[in-house]
Amino acid sequence: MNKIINKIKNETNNLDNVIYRKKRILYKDLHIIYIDALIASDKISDFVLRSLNRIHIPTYKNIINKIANFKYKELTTYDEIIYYLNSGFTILLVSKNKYIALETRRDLSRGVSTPITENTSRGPLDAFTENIEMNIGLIKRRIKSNDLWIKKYVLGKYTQTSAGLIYIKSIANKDLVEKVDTLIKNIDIDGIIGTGTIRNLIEKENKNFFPNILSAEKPYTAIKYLLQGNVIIMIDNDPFVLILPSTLNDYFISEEDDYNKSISVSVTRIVRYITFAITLLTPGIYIAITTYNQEILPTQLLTSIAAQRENVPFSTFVEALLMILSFEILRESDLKLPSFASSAISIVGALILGEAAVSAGIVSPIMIIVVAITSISSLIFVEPQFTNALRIYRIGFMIGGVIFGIYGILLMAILLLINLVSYDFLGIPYLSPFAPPITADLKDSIIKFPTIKLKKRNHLLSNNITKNITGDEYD
Amino acid sequence: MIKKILLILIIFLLTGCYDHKELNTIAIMTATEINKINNEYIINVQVVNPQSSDKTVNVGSPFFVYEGKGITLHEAYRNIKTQSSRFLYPNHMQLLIVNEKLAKEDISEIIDFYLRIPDTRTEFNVLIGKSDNILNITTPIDDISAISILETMRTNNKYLGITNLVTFNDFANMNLNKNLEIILPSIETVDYTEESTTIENTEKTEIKSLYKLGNLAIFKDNKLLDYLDKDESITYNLIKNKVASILITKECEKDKYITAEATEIKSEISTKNKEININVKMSGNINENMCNIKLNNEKELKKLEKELSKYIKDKIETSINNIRKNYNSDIFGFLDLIYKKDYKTYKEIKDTWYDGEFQNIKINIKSSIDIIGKGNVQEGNNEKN
Repeated sequence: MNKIINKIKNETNNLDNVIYRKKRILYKDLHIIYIDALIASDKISDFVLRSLNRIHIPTYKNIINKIANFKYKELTTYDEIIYYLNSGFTILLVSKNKYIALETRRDLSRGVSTPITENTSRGPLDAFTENIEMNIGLIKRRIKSNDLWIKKYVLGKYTQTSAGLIYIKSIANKDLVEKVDTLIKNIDIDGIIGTGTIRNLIEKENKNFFPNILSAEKPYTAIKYLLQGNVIIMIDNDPFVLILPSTLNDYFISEEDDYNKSISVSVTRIVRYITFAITLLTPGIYIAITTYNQEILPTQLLTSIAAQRENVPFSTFVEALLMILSFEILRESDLKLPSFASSAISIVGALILGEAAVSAGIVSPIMIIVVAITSISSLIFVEPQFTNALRIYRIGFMIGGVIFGIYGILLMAILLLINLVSYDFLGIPYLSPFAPPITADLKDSIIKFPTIKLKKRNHLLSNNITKNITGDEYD
Repeated sequence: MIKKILLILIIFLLTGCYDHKELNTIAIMTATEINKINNEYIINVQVVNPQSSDKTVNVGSPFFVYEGKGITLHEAYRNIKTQSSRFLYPNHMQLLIVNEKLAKEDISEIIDFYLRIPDTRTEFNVLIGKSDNILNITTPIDDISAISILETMRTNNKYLGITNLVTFNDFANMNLNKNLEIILPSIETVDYTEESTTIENTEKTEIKSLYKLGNLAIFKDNKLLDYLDKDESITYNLIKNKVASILITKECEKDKYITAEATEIKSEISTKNKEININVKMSGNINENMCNIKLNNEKELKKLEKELSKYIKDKIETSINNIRKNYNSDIFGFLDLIYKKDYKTYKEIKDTWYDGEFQNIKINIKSSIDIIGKGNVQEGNNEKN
């Protein structure tokens, strides 16, 4: 036993955070080891030391029987000792190869709070936290069924991060679960810090600019996708969970849709799809029209655009690039700066970009409008990866427009379609339910059918395609 | 990956940028006026002054007119480039005004040019200019005169039915189809002076000088013959279904009139047994009723409808006969109709069409008007008398 203690002392370079205590009970020395930074001291004194005081015959069985901690683990190897010691457990060295780990973790996570990235006007306001057990709890609270299965993993050579793969056994596609399972098992990396790392390891990172994995901060979203047959990956120390696989259509669906009538949801969805087109195409089409295809504008509009462009020294493409670049700089600095400084940014942005650039004759007012509508449109998509993909394609469309005009826009559109159609992730085509058409999900895409009519699940995602739904059906 | 990048780079080498033109390097051309003097084309080209849209600063007139000369039209256009700092962008041309002196010689030679050059659209409207320098006049409200003229033509055609809009496509079609004759709207200036071309012309409430749309110009064998009168113009538009509404003013008693506004006008022309049948249907509102006709009386109304129908029929009949007699030009396309529907007769009569056949062909006209709106004054307004 001294061997073990010496080994730990050696490996940790005699770190003074590691506390070693000896407790003598009936001629027998019990060694207690814990790490100061991770444990709750009251738990040690209340549950460990006090219960040990009540033990008179210090046998292994007796200790396990009498100990007051609600969670303990019987250990046999040195590696296990190290893992539990670093997880905040208190280790009791009873005798050779007979060790006990007692849960005495200090609560290092913050409590459940409201989501930061996902705004909601209706619906539950709790968000995931950095504690994986708490997060699992938040899901379990909502699905009280034995079919909620959780596979646990420990990932990262140094970080030893615990991760979980969560799915509903009777809904999720078995093949899909197995595929994700092997993907996670194949991960061999020094450290997993958050969901970002695991996400980039699982999806083919640059094959498709658009994201294939949805990240969610709210248990509500997670449950919604679990019930559709998606699986969820959870990482300790990250308040975001990964929902996979996702398709393009998933980024147009918002939680609020569940709280509205299907007819108004359909209108909103149409607006979102139009916004998608606007944010992708507007600068490209503007450049194409004003530099090649002036004939497609009505004469009055053309003369008014021409009047505004009259004193601008740059070509339309350069002008657009400048404005989009300055907007990206604004956005980037707004994200990085703390919120108390963001008002300064908005003043500078509004004044310099909006007002001064026009009056100085560097950009035309119509270009401000073009860039503004483009940028505002791109902000309706919450997933940052999605917005970034849009940005790449937007610049692609601009280049297409400045080289070939409207023809170039069409070329780029074909390229985008080829890219989107040809990509699939975990067997789910990215453009489904549109291509290939999947009727079950088409009913909840651009047009949303009444909830009572959504009776089927996507057969690619789920083995169990019939939903349990009955109610007063109407026509 | 490298292969893909190379492939994408090759696309850029293929072509591209060949017709790249920034908005501030082009001059937007809205209209052209063509004249021919001593075998030399003289064109006036109207170009928009883009800065004039900015109303806050005074930057000159809303448009400028360049003049170019040349033995051919293309040469004349090219010669403008000796004066203009910018590339003349022809895709937004709205009007082509052909001076009547040129039209009296031969109008067909200008068709060839506009059909051949790739960069004009063939959707612009063609007019006959009765006077020179029509494009130079500044116009109120719509400050680019080409657009002002075009809008005037549209409203005139819609509510008055005297003029009509002939696009270059129609024009070329009338020229190329040997069974059709050309008919074009016309325009002239009123009180043209040097001052008409300045902005001051539109700064006073009383507009001194403006353009005025004329009646339709009738052609035969690509030469301008004369201008129709008002009734004949309306008749042409009526038969060709080119009018949305017309005014019918009929004398009901001496120096007392009844005015009806006819809408939903529909006419059909058909041919059978060497006869032309024209059927004109319309519905109308009574807008003025000086004779105190009791419109809520079914009998009176029917009688009025009958009278009006006959009135319209007579007007159409006399107009057609006048056109036949005075000009001997088949602007209505009767021969084309026979060619399409009755080829046997066509072969029989085509050689002698203008030697008597057109004059003598029997034309049956039917017309009917259905009065739906009588106004709020049901009894007539002269109850006291």
